[in-house]
Amino acid sequence: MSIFLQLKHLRKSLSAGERLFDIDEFSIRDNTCMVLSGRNGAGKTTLLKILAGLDKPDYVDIVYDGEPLSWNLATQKMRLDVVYLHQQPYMFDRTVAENIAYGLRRSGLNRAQVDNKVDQALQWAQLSKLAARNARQLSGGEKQRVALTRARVLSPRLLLLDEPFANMDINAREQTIQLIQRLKSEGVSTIVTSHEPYISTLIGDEHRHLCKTGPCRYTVVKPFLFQRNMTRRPQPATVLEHEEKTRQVKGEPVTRAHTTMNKETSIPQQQITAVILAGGLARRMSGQDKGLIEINGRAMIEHIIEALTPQVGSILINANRNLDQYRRYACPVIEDMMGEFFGPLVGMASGMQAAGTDYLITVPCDSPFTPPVLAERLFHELQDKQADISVAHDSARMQPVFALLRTGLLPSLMTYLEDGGRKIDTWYAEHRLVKTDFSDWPDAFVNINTADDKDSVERKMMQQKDVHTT
Amino acid sequence: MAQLLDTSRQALVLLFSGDPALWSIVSISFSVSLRAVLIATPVAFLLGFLLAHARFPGRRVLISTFNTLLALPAVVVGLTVYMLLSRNGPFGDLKLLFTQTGMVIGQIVLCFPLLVAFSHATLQAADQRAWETAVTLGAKPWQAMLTLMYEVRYGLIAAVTAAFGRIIAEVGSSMMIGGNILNYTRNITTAIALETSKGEFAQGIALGIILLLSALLLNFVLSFIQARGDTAP
Repeated sequence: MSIFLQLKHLRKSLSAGERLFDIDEFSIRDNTCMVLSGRNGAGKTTLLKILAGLDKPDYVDIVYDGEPLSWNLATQKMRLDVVYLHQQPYMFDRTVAENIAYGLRRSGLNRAQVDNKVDQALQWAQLSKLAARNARQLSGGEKQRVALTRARVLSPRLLLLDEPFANMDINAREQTIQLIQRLKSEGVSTIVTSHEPYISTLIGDEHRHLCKTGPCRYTVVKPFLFQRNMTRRPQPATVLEHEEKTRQVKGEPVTRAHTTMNKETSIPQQQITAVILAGGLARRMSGQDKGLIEINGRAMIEHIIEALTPQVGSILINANRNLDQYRRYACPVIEDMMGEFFGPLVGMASGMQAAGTDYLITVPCDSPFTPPVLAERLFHELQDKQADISVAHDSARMQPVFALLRTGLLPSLMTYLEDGGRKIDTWYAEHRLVKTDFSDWPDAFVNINTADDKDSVERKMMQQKDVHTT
Repeated sequence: MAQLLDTSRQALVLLFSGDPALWSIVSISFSVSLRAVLIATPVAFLLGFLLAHARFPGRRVLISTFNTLLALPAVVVGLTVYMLLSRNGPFGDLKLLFTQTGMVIGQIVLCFPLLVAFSHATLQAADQRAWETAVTLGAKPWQAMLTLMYEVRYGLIAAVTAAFGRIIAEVGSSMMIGGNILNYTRNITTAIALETSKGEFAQGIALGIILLLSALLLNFVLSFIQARGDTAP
């Protein structure tokens, strides 16, 4: 699937001069459905209108079919190839058939050809009965169908649907989803905006999130777009559950084939990325970077990397300071994608963004005794319970930063962070959470917060080594 | 009172007896005003559209100017155009003074601000999505403009009706520019003024009735069209 439209260095300000967004790169592929999420006011509609040539950005470099074009030339092409649909579609004050014929009448076809195409389109959308009605008198769902059909008859390459599911009941929503899927099968790319993060699990090959970052709610500091891996999409748990329900309704026995996984089978190691969270301020260690504190002659993070390497496909380090020192460990170092020291959730989000795998394991940088069974155990519990997040638990309490998460949770996490949420527990509570028991690994969650901690950990590590070597 | 009733009766007799002089006056009135409206409307609507949807320096000033010109008295227009068209005026060589064309020019000046102000208000209030939908469906800007005007056609028709009502009923500019020449530039309003000054009240009232009837007819047509508009909200 090749990229046919690419926007670079896209900048747009509001009329008051406030920067709305500043997007380095935005590409649209042929025959792809992209979900664009983001909070209200993040600029989703404006972005779509720019793509349709209806709104003018402050600055943009456009590459169209591999050819760099000026804005004026590009808008001419975009108006031919791209159709934008309003959240509440506008119906011309004429009949349904005339609404559908609107674009065709201006495309140089003769009357008979137009009538023919309109008839076919009316049948396609099951609107034939309504053909002679004034389009203004239709219901909301019918208007949406007319608008989709009116766009489709023009055979666009890209359809932009602005919040097509807002204010829709389940039936209308289902119908719209089916129409979008049919359009995709006809080779039309679509971009669907939604402020509901989960819509991407229903449709969409790609997911991008447009967000405002930083502490000021209405100032855009830096945009953030993420792209979900197209080929290795995790099967969303919700769908499985839905299938089970329908089977139960039909009276068929529920076969939990996907859960009767052999515990001994290996985990999909290549689909798991670990992120070591070393982005904190370490206030209690007088600001010393905890990941770099030496334990028995080696930086703490080295101990952790050593323990994780056999368990996962790749390891990332999330750090905001001493980046050069962290880069020595031959793992990609990623900085927080937003804010200033907003806490571990931002580190997790940055990890999900960078990972490109279906799963992400997070570990803190100050617990040197990472259990060798961490990934395996967390993963099996996640699979067994069909959960979204698997969190380690010692006998006393949950250890929220030792967790395995589906990277598909990123939109939800972004929404939570943008709303100002910073607490791991609260965000976890929004999802299917499973607690994985690690009470047989008492040292696993020992962490170093003070100089005394460090001494005792060093002693313990020496003892372990002794046990190991003898 | 008796005199008023008597002259009204005479007026009706005149109307239905098909007095050719009377009908010549009526036809001049309508032909001049219709020509003025037909010429002024396209230009005024285009300007109204630009004022509503384009952004250019001086736009606000222009809008205020046209709103102010709504109050322009017909005699002032008559005086100005008279001076421009008279022998010594800048356009004297065109020999348009005391012609129907001169009257049309005066009436265009009179109805133009009204058409601009009303169409601007109507197009300004039009649904922004109509324009965007037309453009995204492949309409060229001028096609999208026509679509937008079609979408707000009832408001625009009302503007034309109001403009026509204003110029068919004005007397000041027609009198000064046209000169009230029988069978050439004498229209309903100038004829009424003349007949009244001669004491021929019956003729004056008959003409007044025609003016009122035409206004009535116009309003009926308008309300009929608007009622159709209501059924398609």
